[in-house]
Amino acid sequence: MFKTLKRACLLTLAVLFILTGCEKTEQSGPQKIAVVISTLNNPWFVVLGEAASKRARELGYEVTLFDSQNDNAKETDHFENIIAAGFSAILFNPTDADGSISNVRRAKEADIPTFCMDREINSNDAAVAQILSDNYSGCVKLGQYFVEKVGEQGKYVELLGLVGDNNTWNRSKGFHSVVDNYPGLKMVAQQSADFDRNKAMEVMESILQAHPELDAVFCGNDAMAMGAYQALAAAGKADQVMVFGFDGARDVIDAIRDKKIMATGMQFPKVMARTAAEMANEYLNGRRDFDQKIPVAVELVTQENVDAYTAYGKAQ
Amino acid sequence: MAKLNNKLKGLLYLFLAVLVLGLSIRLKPLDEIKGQSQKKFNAGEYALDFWNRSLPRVLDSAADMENLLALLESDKKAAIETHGKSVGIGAQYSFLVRGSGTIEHVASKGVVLSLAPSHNDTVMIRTRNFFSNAIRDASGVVNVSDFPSTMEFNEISGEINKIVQQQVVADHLDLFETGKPLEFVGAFELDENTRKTTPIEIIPIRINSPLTGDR
Repeated sequence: MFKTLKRACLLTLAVLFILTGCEKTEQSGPQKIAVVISTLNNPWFVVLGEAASKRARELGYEVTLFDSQNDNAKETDHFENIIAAGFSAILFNPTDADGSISNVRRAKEADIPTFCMDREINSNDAAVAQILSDNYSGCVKLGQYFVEKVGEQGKYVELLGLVGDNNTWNRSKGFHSVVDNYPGLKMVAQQSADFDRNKAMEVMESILQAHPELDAVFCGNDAMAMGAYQALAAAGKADQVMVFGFDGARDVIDAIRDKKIMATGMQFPKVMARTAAEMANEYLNGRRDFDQKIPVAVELVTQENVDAYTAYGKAQ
Repeated sequence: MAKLNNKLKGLLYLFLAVLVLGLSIRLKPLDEIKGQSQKKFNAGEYALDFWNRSLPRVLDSAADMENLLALLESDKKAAIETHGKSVGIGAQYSFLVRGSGTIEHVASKGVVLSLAPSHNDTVMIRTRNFFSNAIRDASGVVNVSDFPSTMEFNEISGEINKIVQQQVVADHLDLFETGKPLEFVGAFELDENTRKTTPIEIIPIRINSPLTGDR
């Protein structure tokens, strides 16, 4: 009996030792920052991730870049690994405004501050700060320009982004808050192409079958604008149908300059990324008074003012 | 004795199993995971409350429009620092202003006013199809960080603009005639990097005629 008791105690101690050993590992050397990006399959997000990584390294941190591949489950795995590996902060581009909240809360419980970039989570007390593109106001400006160029009569199509992303709806609602005031402007189709160029091309091809006579297409991001333009070009309609995008990506800025695309909303991924990295650094050095939500203004880039801009920012 | 040892073993192993499970499972209330109450935000109600309670308290701080235009011309940075409000990061600023003048002409988008007393400058009081965040942001009382979703923050401007259209503009249509005097309190947006060549467009909060008094 005594032997049994002794074995039981040793086993208990072993189990307790293993469980407590699963806590965050202590680290020596430079602190580590994790940069978690929704997808690295889109050049805009590559710029966001690389700019955040670069600034964090400049500030003296070791950086690891994680690609969530637009998959909330994969994002959750990343967070679990980040927490287990003892990262000091997370610069985060969420996959889902609601679905990503629990990941940020788990990091918070593990004393790892999270700074959201570009996309928000629908919570005010999980992330330390959220540096967001002011997509709605950007698309209000774009909507006004759309009406100016297309006129108050016409048929148009809208290609939406990922439906789980608040940015999709911020952009769409901003656009419609203007355009829906003009009853002569009719939206003949509205479909999601998931912010993806290839999908946008396929969706646009199929929409053109049903609606061959169009005046304009509004796309929730530049990748889809390029896909839509490709479909229109293939159908011989690129000169008849105006295309509007959103992001400020290189290929669309070039296409605006070449008068193929009408306009885009310039977001500033490098500004958001650098700001997030700097805030993380300030937090790790003791600062705690951060505004929860920090919108970054979006600027309208048109064929008239495109020379003032370059990919993802202002021309120097 | 052997039976007793076996029972004891069983109990000890059961105790261990419970201990391991207890340490590895954490239960949390669903509300905590969702993090938010289920009450849906009503932008219309918020805007009405803002219009009736919060906004009137800040209108006394409105800058004189003619003086502000002169300062924007001579020292834009000072004008922005003293009178401009911004939300977040960017070159866009909103201003709360008051002024008076004479209507030069009535356009489709609004009335063009020649500003008193000098009548050297003109502004446009928008009366139709305006989509600005100017009133919300110039007031300085609506904080984006108070909203779990920025869409709620965005919707407020739309509702404020509806109030302007349905109350402020609709109630004063008879004042919008060329040659008539007008007093206003309103708000406008300005991009710091843009050199504006057209009249600044003001979204009205209060309009009245100096001839007939407050309305």
